Amino acid sequence: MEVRKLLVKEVMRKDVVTVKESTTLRELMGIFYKYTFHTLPVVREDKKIVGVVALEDVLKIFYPHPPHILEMLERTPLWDGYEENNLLEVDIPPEMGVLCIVEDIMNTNVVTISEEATTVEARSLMKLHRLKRIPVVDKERHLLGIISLFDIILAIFKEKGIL
Amino acid sequence: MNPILAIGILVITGFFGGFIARRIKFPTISGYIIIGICLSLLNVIPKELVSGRLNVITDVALGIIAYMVGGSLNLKSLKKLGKNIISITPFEAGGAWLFVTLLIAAIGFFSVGFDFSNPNFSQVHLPMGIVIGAISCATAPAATIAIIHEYKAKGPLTTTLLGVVALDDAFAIIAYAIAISIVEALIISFKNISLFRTVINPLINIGGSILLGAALGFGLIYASRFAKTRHMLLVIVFGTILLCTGLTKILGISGLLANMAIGFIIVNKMKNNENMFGVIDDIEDVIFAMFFTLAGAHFDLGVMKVAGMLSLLIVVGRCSGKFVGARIGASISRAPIPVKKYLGFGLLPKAGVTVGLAILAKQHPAFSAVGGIMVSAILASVIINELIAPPLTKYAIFKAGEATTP
Repeated sequence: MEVRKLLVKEVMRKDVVTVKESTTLRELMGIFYKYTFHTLPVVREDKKIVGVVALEDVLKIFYPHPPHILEMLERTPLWDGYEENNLLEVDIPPEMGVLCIVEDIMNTNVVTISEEATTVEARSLMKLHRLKRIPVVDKERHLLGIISLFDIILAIFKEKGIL
Repeated sequence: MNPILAIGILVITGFFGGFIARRIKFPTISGYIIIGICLSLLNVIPKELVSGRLNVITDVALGIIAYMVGGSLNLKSLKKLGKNIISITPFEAGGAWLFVTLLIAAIGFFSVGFDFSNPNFSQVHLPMGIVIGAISCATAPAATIAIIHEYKAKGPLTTTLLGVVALDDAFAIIAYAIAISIVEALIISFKNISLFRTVINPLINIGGSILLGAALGFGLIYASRFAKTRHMLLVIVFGTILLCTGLTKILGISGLLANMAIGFIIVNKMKNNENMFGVIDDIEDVIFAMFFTLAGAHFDLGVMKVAGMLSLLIVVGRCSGKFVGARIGASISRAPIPVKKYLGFGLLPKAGVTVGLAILAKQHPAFSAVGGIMVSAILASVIINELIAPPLTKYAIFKAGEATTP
């Protein structure tokens, strides 16, 4: 079998670390600390995916203004960006660890892929959206697994007999 | 001078203008515009080129601006804005529109003299007032954001200010489309054309633009499936904006509204739409450098005797309209007292969309005689605003007690 015909379901990982919308910032940082990857699917009880949360999203808590307004302003001509305040200068109370939950900072604009798609399509999506991990879902958007660039490279190496 | 050399000069000199502006903590756009004005004063680029073959840059840049503004109108984000921002925006923008229109139409009729015979009130001053008023709705965020950032401002006034500024450009584009339709109706009504056509023409213009934009938006969603890389996506998105702008020119409808409708459809109807706007970010710097420098080059020192008075009327009308409108909107929505008292002071910067719409108005046949004066007056008012607005924004933030650093 040629590598480029490999299906996502043959390569994806099924043991996915996920978080819930109600996961607190403190718990989330604990998970980030434990694992080397810092992009996690956010799922509900029925495993339906509702978002993704990445380490970059945690930076939103350093913005003193609502993120949805800053997102609107990003579309104005020659937007120079809004730098997050100097992390050392920001006055964040300790309660933020439990008051801020994943729902407040997650990205709901989620790129997903079907398990029947090929690894070539998965790689195209990764390049298009500049992602390294893509959640794999069924038609009802229930999370089935996750595919990463590492998984694809691993499969290619195995196919070629390198590993 | 050939157009390609002119574009090269615009981009390179504009780049250094933007660079210096950022160094002295001014918005990049202001740097482009001032360099453009210098090019005009030094007569570097021939006037016939600025107002002739280089117009294509204006059309493309405005298509991009409108598409991006449409993309800012995410219904989910709009719902989160809250009633204060939603209520205040139409009042402060409408206030600027009304006050500028009244001042230009009333005072301008007596104080702004033109060098052509019989400048008619209903065919010159009133249409000019209506269109410049609509253009005055826009607010530029760069200067405001810089001050908010500098003083680490935080609180209800700051949040409302950011929200209103975020909505203003969309409001200005819609206001401009309506204003141009009114002006066309005013002008054709003097040519003994039926009342039916006078009313139906604006509706066809606005409705047709939105329909075309929506159709192209859905078409773009479908076509984007074939893009496997960001480069391919850029080709499709940019191509659709050009297609839309070109079609609206053939059909005689609003390219701004149509491109805004494309952005609106994309942001609300397409999953994973961030790239659809992100790819435009990759090219907008070069296009806006040439566009805003070109806009500055439209400045004509020779008409400033007339345009100077007009620019003062624009500044006074816009400031008072924004201030009064914001106060009324804040009272109606029962916004906190600092918002009611000081919001108007923060809404004065203007640059990007204002300048774009001014150049577009100059190209409109209705303003063939006064277009140059209008643009010079608006450019002068932009410069005046860039100078007076930052201290006033700072005053508002400090008076509201929202600055956290001295």
